[in-house]
Amino acid sequence: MDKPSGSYSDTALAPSKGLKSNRMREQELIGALVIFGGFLLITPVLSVNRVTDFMIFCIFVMSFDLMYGYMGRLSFGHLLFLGTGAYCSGLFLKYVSKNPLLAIIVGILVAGLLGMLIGLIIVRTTGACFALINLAFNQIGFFLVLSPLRKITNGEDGFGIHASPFGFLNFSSRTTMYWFVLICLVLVFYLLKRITSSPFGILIRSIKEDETRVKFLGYNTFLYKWVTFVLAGSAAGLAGTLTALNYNYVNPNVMDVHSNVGAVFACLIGGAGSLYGAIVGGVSYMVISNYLPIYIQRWEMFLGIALLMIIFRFQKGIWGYLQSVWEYVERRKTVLRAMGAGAVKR
Amino acid sequence: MIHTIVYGFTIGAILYFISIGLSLTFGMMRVINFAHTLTYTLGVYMLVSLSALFKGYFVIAAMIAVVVVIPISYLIERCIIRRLYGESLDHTFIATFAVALIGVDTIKWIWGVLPYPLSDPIGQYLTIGDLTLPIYRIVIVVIAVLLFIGLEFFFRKSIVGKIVVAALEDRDGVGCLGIDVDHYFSIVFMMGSALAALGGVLYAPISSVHPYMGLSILLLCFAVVIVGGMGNLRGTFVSALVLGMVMALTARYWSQGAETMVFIVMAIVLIFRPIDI
Amino acid sequence: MSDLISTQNLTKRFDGLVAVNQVNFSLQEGQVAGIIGPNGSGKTTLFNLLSGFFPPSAGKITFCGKDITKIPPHKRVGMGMARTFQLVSVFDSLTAWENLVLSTIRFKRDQQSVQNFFFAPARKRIVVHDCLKSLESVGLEKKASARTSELSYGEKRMLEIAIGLSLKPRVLLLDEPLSGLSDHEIGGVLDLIHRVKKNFALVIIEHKISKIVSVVKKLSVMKEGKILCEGNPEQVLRDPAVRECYWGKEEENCST
Repeated sequence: MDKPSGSYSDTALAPSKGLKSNRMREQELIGALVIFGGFLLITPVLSVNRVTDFMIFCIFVMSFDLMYGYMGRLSFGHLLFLGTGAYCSGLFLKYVSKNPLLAIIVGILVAGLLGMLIGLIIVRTTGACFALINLAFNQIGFFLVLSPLRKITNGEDGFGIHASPFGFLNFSSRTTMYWFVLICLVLVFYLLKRITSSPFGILIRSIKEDETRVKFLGYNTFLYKWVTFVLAGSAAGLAGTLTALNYNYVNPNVMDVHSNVGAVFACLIGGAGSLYGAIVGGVSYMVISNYLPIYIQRWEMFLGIALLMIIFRFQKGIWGYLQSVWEYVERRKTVLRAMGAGAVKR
Repeated sequence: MIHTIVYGFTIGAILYFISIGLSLTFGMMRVINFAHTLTYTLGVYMLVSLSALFKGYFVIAAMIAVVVVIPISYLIERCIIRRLYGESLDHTFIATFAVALIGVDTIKWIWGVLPYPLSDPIGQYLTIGDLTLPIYRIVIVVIAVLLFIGLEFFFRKSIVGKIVVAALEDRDGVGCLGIDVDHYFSIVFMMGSALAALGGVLYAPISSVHPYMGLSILLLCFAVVIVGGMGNLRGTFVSALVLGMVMALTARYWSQGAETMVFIVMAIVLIFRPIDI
Repeated sequence: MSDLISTQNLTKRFDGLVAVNQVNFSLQEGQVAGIIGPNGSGKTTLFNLLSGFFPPSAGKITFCGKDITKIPPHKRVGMGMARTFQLVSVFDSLTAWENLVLSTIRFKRDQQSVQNFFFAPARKRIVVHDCLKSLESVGLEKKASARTSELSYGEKRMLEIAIGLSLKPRVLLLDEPLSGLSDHEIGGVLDLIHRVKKNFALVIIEHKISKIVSVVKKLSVMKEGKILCEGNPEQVLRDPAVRECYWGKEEENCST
C-alpha cells in the first residue's frame, strides 16, 4: 500500500492540480482585485452615490454571511452592530473629536466590544433561539437610542455629523467617500477571504455541519463561535461608521429590526456561504430595492414571489448556482480524462 | 392602577389569541411562521370592510371576518407551510416572510396604506365605586378565559385534541400509528389562524389599523411563545397574560418602553432556558 | 504499571434506566482492548462517558493519572483521547483532505501558530502534505479532492479513522468500526488496526467478535450496564455466563 510520494501526478484521478501547485496561492488577492474592478465597472452605469451605498451594504452582508453562511447561525438582529458603529462614531464626532479616522476606529472597536460582551451569552444558543435573542438585543438597542439616551442621541430625529478633513481625506466630497468605501470593501473582502480559507474557516464550516464532532477534534467550539461573532459584529460596525459618514446623519433607522431582512435576502439571492455570493447578493438586492419600485409599483409583492421561487427552486442562489455549474464542468473533464487515459492503456 | 391591570389583562388576552396558533405551529411542525399574523391583519381589514356593510352589527361583522380568513389560511398552509416541514430554520423564515410580504402588499393594494379608525363597539363603561372601566376590554378578557377553558376541554377530551397533543410531543410516533399528521396539522393551522383573526378583530377597535400591524405584534407573539414554551398551551396562556401585564405596567411608567421590556424578558428567559430547534 | 484509563464505579442513569452500572474499567498504556455485549448493554454509553460526551451520574474517570470526570471533551482530546462514532461522522460538506486539516494542525499558542491558523490559507503546501500523508496511511490519497459526501461508507469510515490517527492520540476509542462495511472493507480496516496498534492504546467496541478476537489482548463483555466478564479473549469466550448472554442457557437434557 505504501507509495512513493511522487506518484500523485500519474494517476488520472489525482488530487486536482491546485493542491500541489503554486498557482492558487494568491487566490484571495486576485479575488480582491476582481471585486475592485467590478465595482469600478458598474459605477459609470449607476451613480457614484448609489454605488457607495451598495458597497456599504455589501460590507454588512459579508459580515452577516460570515455568521449565517459559514457558521450556519441565522441572526435576526445583526443590524444592532451596524447601528452601534454608526451611533458611536457619530457621537464621537459630535462630542469628542472631528477626526474621522478616529471615529471609524471607535465605531469598530465599540461594536466589537459589544459583540464580545453579548456574544458570551448569545453564542451558547443556536437555531431559532439564536435568531430571536439577537432580535431581542437589536430591539433593545433600538429602544435605547430612541428613548433613554435621547439626551445625547436626539431620539427619533437623530443628529447630523461633521467630520473635518484628515490629510487628503475629505469625507464631505462624494468622490473621496466613494474611493474610501471601495478600499474598505476590498480590504474587508481580502481579510475575510483569508480568514475563511484558513484552517479557522474550515473550523467554522465544520461547526456549521456538526459542532459536537468538532469538539471531539479537540476544539473549544464556544471560543471559536464567539470569535466569529465578534468578527462579524466588528465588520458590521465598520459598515455602520461608513453609513454615518456617508449620510452625515445618524438616526434610529440604522438599527431598525425589520431591515435585517435585507441582509438575509441578499445572502439568499447571491448564495450563502461565499463572500463572492454575499457581494453579488448585496448588489442585486440593492438594485432590486432601489430600482424596482420605479418600474413596478407592487415591488414588495414581486420580491416576495421571487423569494418563494428561490427558496423552493434555487436555494443556492446565483453564485451557488454558478459554482455548481462550474463543478459539474470540472467533474466531466476529470471523468473524460480518466476515460481517455484508460483507453490509451488498453 | 386598576386601569393598568385591566389593560394588561386585555393585551394579554389578545396576545393569547394570536399566540396559540404560533405556538402550535412551532411546537408541532417546528416551523416558524412569519406569516402567522397575516390572518390577524386580514381579519381586521375584512372587519373594516364588513363594518361598512353591517353598520352597527359589530358581532356579525366580526364573525364573518373570522370565518372568511379560514380558506385563505388553508391555502397558505397547503401551498407553502406544508413544504417547509423538515426544512432548515432560515428557509422557513424566508419563505414565510415572503408570504407575509406578499400579503401585506396585497392589503396595501386593496385597502390602501392609510390607517383606518375603528371605534369601541360597546362604548359603555362599567362603574364600580369610583372606577370606570370600559366594558369592552373586560369582555375581551372574559372571552379569553372562556377560550382557554374551551381549549383545555378540546385538547383533553376530544380525539382530535388528543392526537394534536400527542403529535406535539412525538410527531413521528403518531405518524407510525397510521394517523395522517399532516391532515390534523391543517386543522390546527386553520384553527390558529382563525383565532389570530379573532384576536385582531377584537383588538382593532382599541388600537390602530394599518397594513404593518401584523409585523409589530408578531414579534411580541414570538416572545410570548418563547417565554411560555412552544406547544405548551397553558404556558402560552400564562405567559401571554404575564407579558401583557409587563407591557401595561411598563407603559404606565415609561411609555415607549413597553415592547422593549417584553424583549428584555424574552432575552432573559432565553439565556436561562435555551430552546432546542 | 499505572493505568492509562481507569474508572471507578462509573454510573450513568437516564431517567430511571441505568445504562452504565458501577463499571470499573481499566486500560494499560499501549494495550488493545475490546468491548463486546448485546445491544443496549451500555458499550457506547461507556465510550460517551470516557470521551466526555456527557457527564456521569456517579463515579470517577482517570486518564493519564488525572481525574478527568469534570473535564470537557475538547480538553480530553488535547490530553490524548480520540474517538470514532458508531454512525460515521465526517464532514460531508468538506473535501476529504479538508477533513483532516483540523486534526492535523498542531495548534500551539505562539504567534506564528495563531497567524497560521486564522490567516494563512489552509491549502498551504505543508498542511496539504500532512493531510495527504494521513490519507495515504489509509489508502485514500487518490480521493483527496473528492467531496466527502461522494465517498462510499467504507471510505468514510477509513477517513474517520484517519482523522482519529492524525490526532496522534495516546488512546483511540473505536465504536463499531466494522459496522456497515463489506468483507473487503473489513479486511482493510483490520489491516490498518494491525499496523497502528503498536503506536498507542486502542479500545474497540464491536459486534463482529470473530474479527477482532485476533487483534485484542483483553476482552470485556458488558451486559445491562455491567462488565460481566473480562480477560483473555479465548477464556472470556468460553465463559458460560458469556455464552448464555449471546446464545442462551445450555439445556442439560438437550442432545447435540
